[in-house]
Amino acid sequence: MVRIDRRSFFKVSALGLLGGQAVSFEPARADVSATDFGLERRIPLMCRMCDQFCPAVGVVRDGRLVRVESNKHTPYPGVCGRSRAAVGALYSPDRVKYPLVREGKRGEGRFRRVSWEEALDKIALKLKELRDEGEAHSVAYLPRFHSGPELDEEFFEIYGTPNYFISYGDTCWAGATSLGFAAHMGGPKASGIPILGPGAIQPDYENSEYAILMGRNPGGAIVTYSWGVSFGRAKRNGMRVVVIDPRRPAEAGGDAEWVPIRPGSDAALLLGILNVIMDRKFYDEEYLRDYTNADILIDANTLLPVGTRQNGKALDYLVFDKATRSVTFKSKAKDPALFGSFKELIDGKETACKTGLQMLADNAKQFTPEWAESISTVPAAKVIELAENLNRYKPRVVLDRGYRSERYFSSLREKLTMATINLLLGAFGREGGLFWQHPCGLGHFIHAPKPSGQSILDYYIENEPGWILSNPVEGRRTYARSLLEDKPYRSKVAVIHGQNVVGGSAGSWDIAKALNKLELIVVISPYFDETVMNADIVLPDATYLERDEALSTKFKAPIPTIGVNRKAVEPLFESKDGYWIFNQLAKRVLTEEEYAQHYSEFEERGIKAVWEKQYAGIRGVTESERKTIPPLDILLEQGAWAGSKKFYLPQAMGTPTGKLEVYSLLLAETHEKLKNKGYPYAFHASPLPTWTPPRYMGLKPKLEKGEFVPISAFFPLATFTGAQTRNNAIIKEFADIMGGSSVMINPLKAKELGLSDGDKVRITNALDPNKKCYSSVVRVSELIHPDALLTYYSMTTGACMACRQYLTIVSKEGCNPNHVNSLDFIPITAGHPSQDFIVKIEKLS
Amino acid sequence: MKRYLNCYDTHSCVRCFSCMTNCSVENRVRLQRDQHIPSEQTANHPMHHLNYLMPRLKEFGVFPKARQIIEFHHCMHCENHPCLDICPAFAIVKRPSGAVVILEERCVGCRSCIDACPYDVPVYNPETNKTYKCILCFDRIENGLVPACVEACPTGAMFSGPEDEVLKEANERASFYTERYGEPYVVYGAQRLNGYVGRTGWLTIVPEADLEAYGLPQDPVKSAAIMRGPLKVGGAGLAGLTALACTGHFLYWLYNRKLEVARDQEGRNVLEQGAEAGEGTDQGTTSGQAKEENRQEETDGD
Repeated sequence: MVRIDRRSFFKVSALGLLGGQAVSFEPARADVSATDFGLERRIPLMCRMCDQFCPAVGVVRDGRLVRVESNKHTPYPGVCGRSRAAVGALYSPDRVKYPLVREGKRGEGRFRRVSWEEALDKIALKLKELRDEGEAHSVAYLPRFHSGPELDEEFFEIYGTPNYFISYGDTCWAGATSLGFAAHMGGPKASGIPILGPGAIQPDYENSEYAILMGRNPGGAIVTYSWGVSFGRAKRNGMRVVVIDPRRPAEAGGDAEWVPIRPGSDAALLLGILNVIMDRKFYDEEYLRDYTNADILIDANTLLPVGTRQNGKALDYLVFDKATRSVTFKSKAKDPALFGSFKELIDGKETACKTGLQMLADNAKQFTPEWAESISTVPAAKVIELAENLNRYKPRVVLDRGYRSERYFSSLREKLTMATINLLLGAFGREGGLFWQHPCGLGHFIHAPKPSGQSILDYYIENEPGWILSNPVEGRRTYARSLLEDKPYRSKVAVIHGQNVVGGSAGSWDIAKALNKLELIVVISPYFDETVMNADIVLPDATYLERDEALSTKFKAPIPTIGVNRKAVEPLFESKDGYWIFNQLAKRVLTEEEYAQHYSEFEERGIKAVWEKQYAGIRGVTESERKTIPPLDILLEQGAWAGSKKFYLPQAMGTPTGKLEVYSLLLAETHEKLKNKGYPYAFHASPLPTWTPPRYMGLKPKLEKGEFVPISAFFPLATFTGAQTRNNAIIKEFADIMGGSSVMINPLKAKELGLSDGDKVRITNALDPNKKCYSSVVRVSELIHPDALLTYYSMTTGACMACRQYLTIVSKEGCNPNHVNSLDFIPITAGHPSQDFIVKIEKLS
Repeated sequence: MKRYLNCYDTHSCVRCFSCMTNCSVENRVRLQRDQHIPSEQTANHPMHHLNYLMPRLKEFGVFPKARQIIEFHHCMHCENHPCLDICPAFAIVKRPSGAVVILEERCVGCRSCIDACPYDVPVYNPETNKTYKCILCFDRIENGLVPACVEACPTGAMFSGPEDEVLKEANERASFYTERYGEPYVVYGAQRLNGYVGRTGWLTIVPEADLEAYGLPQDPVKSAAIMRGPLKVGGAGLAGLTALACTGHFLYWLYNRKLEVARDQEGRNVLEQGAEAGEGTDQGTTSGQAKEENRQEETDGD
């Protein structure tokens, strides 16, 4: 053996040390190459972390979804943080994994696993039985974001129930926003009521100089990311932003202006702005003359037009012609007066009448900035400043239409006044203002016969004054009401698909009680929620990441789009997609002939058959746009097609006069009808500027100690009450840091109640103490109006005790205001007054 | 590769937190790619140390004039990288792009970088005994992709690229906002801030008045770490010599010890043969001894 002395050993080892260092300094990840990223598979998706269908791309590595990106094949590419966290939703340990059948009582959440065969046979047996007994109408279908478009509603239409589609919009946009704008701008009609979809009128942020956001926060609740993209561009282009909100939304940015407002009083502030616009002649006369019915002569007593006649599709109406100084029909008049009060012989009777614009101006006089301040707590000087700024930057101003409008009894008036101001400023249909979306359509796979019989929602529209202008399909809470009243008939089966009817609607437990009257509740859902807890049979739905879907045009971009959703990974556990489920149900329930006619092609050729028919029926695009639509197989690869045309047209869509109606004839007629019926809320439909206070203001003269109006907002990374965001570990990390499940109150109130940050409180309905959320953590903040208590929407299991065992990630602290609210309806639109009540908080020791 | 910059524009950001979520997700992708931990196993667990971009919520003023600032908290990829300089384990390197990266496999968890960082960025995870921070997605940018946060941004509030391009865009935006809103906007980190950090590899477009609010000090230093500077220079030589001497002696001792063990081993083999032959009375002691020596050998093998 060779002996080494100390010195020579040292020499050798020093070399070794150096050599070792040189090699291991190479970082481990430096061997990642471009090829490595190229190994990722990219699958086109339409994101359904919320219900907006934003074009996205799922990235798959080694058979697993690893991330979601935006699809660049649209001019508005962008998906938000919810979308990015899809991995957490897909691989959630808390998914509904197998078909389940209820074991305990409804609401308890005790289930037993069954086979698909058993679950489907059970459902089919009941459906067949009812159909054979002539009771098809007693079945209702309530779908949402994860259904089986082209195959599901059609199944219920063929089956024969007029309640084949009952949607969620009454808890979101379908009342105030839809009607508020449709009353002035028009819209497609259903059951005689003009309705506007949630994307029909869009803000043109990117070309705007000045935006006032009400009922809208730009990050969290900008909702669809074409708007998010456009808003970001607008900020880069130098748009000035004012946010009017009881709490400051962080998403507006540190440099936006915040005007705090008392909850539910936005309409009062807008009436104040309207007052200044009329008083200081900030309106655009030319626009009013060219595009609106501002010149219509109105009977000052009845508030109805003094004379109309049918002229083609639209009504011709009497005006005062300044050229001849006489009353004549608009079509004949040379120079109709925009303003003026007249006493004229109409049909031989002397009638006091005014132009529509004059009526508006006269009635706006009472709503001075000082009056607006007294209701809204926004200083009169600020009201004037807002009006002045609108005037300065018009028509490149966005007085935003807002989102999720069903909040207060005053919500309809808020949107009506918003629409009116947009017309007065000449900002509607102009670049930089609000404009019509230009949507396109697709062909259909199944042409189902229209079921006979009256739908539940149509019954309420016809017979209940409070429902007179409610949306005829968006009415899941009306459905609950009908269950309680057995009107117009007794319902027996509800198939609820991807909707959280219970947790997502004000008056959750009243609704659960209503559902309890049904003989069978089937819920198809990828996740557990309040509604699943009440189900008799639960079917595990595949998420959008696990299914090929029909093409869709639902993405709310300013331009027409067609989106594609392909299967990124195989369905997990025993989940199946809506197409498979409805094909199976059709096989079991429909007659052989019906099945052969409508479903057998799908059975043979699968989703490809659906795509081909949809593709062949593309409509509503311009000729030049059509040339840019790629062949179907390419479209299926690239995942999205987008058109180019924006409609900057100050045009109405089927209003009675065919014009943009500054003076809404729909409202005038409705108001008259309701007045004659003696309906106490008839004034809510007034065609004139009117203050319709939120209900809570009438409940108590003043909020007492510990009482608040429970406002809610979207947390930027969460959405409606699906577990895809609320029970998502990736999102929860950020939610915890940002107090996502806490309740926010102003320090003035906190001091009064001896509360500080981190204290726990119980929240109860001030008028119905049985409705409560047991424990919420308080966050004390200067960023909120003292009257308001903020909860972020759907960040907790709230008062749903049964949900706790199934949703392991979501916060168990916190409050869902729907759980504390009651099943009440906003007059005229039958929306849900989600924030229009009073809660009381008590400190928990 | 040219110097690569990231830029965050506080003005056009809508606070959707897409960037932060995507960063969190991208680090889970890396766990699958580099450590074969599939995404379904990481998707359901919080990984605070792998969120390299985090929000810090701050409030200023009193209702109704109150304001909220959300600071985007992340590594600045300083030109003069005090964290790299202080790291005793040579675990922090600077990539050609300028990205300052902690090499996880080298990190010894001493947290010196935390002491040196004037922005309070690195996060220590006691479970792994390692420290983490943004790596400017160097694996992505060196392969032609943008960092995960930039990829995620739907509004163009976050952008990145070669130094000249990013500086041009950032300066244009800042001067446009300044002119438009009548309030000075600056590009933080574009110019040398001080000798401690130099310029930063992550720029921020921000109203000048809000620099502090956004956690962007004009003179970012960490006094504790600065004290270590002269000590390091003075002590480095001595410490180095001492360390070298110690190591040398240790290795020499080891070498000798090895020889001893080898000798013992020969003797033990003889003993064991004897025990097998049936003289089992002393077996316990013998095997105990052998165990201890085995342990010794394991140590030596290190």
